[in-house]
Amino acid sequence: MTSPIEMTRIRHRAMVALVRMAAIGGLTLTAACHGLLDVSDPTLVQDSDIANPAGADARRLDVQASFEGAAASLAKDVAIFTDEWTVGLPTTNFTSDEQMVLDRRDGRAYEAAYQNSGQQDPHLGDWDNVFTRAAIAIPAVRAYSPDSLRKDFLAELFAIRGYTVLQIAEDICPGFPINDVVNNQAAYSMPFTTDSAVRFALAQTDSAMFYIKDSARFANLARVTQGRAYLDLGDYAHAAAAVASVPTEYVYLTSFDYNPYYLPDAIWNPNITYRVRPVVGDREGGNGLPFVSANDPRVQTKFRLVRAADSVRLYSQAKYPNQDDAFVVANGIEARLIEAEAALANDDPSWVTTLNTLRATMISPAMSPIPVDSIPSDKAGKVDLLYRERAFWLYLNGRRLGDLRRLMRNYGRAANTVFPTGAYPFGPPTYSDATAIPFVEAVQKLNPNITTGCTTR
Amino acid sequence: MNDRIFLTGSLRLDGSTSFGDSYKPRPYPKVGLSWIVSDEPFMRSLPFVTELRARASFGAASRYPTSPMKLGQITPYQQTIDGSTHNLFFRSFLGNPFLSPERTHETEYGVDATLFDRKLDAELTGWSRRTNAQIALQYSPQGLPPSWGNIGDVSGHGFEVRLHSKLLQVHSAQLDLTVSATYQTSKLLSLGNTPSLCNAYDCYRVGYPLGSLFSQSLTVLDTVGGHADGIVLYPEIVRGPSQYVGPASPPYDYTFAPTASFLNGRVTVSTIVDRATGFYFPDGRLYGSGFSDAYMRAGSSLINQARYELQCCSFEPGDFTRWRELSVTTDLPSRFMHAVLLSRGTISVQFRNLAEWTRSKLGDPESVPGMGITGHGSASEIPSVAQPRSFSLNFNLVP
Repeated sequence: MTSPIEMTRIRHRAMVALVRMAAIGGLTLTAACHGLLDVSDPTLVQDSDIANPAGADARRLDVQASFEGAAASLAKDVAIFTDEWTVGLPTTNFTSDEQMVLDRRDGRAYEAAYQNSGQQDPHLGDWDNVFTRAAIAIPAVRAYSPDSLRKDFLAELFAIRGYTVLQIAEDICPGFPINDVVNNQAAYSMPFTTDSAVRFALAQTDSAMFYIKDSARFANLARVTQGRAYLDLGDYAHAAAAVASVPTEYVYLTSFDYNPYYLPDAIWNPNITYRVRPVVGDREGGNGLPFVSANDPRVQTKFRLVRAADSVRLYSQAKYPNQDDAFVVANGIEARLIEAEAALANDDPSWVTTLNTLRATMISPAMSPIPVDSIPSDKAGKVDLLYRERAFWLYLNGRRLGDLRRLMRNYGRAANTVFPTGAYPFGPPTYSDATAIPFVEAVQKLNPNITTGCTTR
Repeated sequence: MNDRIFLTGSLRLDGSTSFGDSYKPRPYPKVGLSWIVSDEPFMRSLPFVTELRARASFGAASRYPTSPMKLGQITPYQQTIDGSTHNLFFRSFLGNPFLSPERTHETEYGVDATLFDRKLDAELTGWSRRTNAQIALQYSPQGLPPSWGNIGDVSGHGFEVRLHSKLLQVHSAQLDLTVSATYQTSKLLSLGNTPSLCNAYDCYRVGYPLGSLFSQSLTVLDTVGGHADGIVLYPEIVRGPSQYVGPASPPYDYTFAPTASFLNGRVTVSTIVDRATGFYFPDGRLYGSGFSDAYMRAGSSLINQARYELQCCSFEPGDFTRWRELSVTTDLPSRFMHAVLLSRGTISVQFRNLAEWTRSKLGDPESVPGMGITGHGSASEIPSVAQPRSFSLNFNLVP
């Protein structure tokens, strides 16, 4: 029989054991509920880690960097597709070389070249990437940027979205998507027509103008974009009004060290293999402008070599001769050109005055005025002259394709009167019929709303 | 049944708040059948068979999405803007709150044998597996970052042979040897709504293993400039159709692991040597200035110049043999241990990754991301950091 003392000891030990068990259990539960057992990975950045002003600014600057990179690099596609650039050296890979098929305006070959490559669309995809990055940055700026800067930052992001959408509208064949991000989830776009995309761009720039406070750089970017969009819609009065306050001296230059136009001498050096670089077009396909032979100071060129096959002299561009040259995204010269086009549409003779003022003041040494006797008397000739001036002023700025398509839409020109056409020097005998850069099949496969390719070419 | 046939079963129910609201807990059953064949009367005439067991099992399991898969990822980078260096962020992966666990059904069958008076143990195992709603990196529509998704169905099969033998036993010394060989492969059965697209080298393509490598044949027409100058320019290269190269992960894996013990087990020396074969990498000469020079140098073959020009279309076997581990363990003297009031103690020295033999010019094949570790899309993340050579000294003291 157990003695009372022994019973007490047993009770005491039982009590101590219970307390210990309770303590261990309590500690375990506390740890589980209060983070001791939580796992964190310090190498992963999550939204909560950058939910602050610095994080919002990092996202805004990411949009700016990707925008400027896209603007600078994708203008190359516009140049090769139009008469600004052409293939300098013949390629044997006529149907799948990207530069060849773009230069020849062969939309179907371009689509086929990318059909099974697994690559994202090299033009639309890069622009849409800027658009979606801005979609992610905007809520962060709204929530965390300081009050004194928030409006200008929002204006910047909407101005960039407006420019991006407008560039897609001007460059890509209708039927394209502009995918978006909503709450960090993919939002699949319906297909856009050129007009609906231009209006979508206007909506973005309207938002930019609503928010703008002190940033002249992005206010003017939004105004020039608005002016371009109204021109595309044939609304010349609104186009001129939109850019009226943009100073002629305004220029938006890329602000980081990136110049895709930098032409290292690699291809001209027989000891180094390198990708073929395009050369400056000179009356390409008959309709092209004489960007070389005009010897116009606005289009700087550099002689490279004589092509052995046909003794054609090849020139590379010299507008951006150095690797750290900034790219012109938009400028006040374009604002004045928009005003000139609006004036011409209204039969206002000031359109010539505007062009001559630019020639006198925006290049050094000043260019002589357009000779009076070389100004056509008919409207079509005047339009040709205006668009020639645009082409030289805005050379390699990514505007030429929008200009040629606007000549077709707003002025009723046939494609074979504005685009390079006729015999193609290499491979297939003639230029093809595309009037905009196609988007590739991968776009259709990944967006269930896009069931066809280009609705028109 | 007669202590010779055993049937076992279990049922597991998985649920977690991390699976999302739409996920309903589901059961994962497992059933196993084991037959001690050596206890059957007809086996008693085979004296060299000490024990023989046949087994088969069927089970279902799941793999759960990780947090980055569900939440997405944000990537930092640096960029100079207006003359100042900034730290920037962009969303490199979208989140996918609808990502659900992938479900795997696996059948495993095999034989375990103990032979020659327990001097040789042998295990032969085969398995086949089908995974539904496989979690993998998913391409997103134009302009959007990728995300992880339940892409489709994948089948896989393989087998493993493992032999363990007491090769030698003399006085107080013993030599054991373990060797194993493994083969495994997979096949993409369906992709659901995911298109058959490729990354830089590897593809999701129905009918091929996950992360298969594809290449293109190249033809060089050295005609630019009107004459053959031996220098390949981009337009002189004609790409052929896409061709299957092989898997990016090793289907064959071999292990050789001898262990020697001396002084009645007080000193043990063991080592492990691994070999992996049957898989491929992008040609290392395409990357890094040192190797690239070999392709760039005047006089190198036209096809090599073309490969360098396109940075593609050349692969090399990733086969490697690695001396993975050498370990020496010894008991500490018991007199010394008792003097410090401990009952037992051992000291061991372990060396890891002592040597590697490979023809890969890319570097350590096992270190290339994607080699059986992270799967699709990662093989392009080159070059890699080699597995570190290391050693450790361990004391094991028992009070």
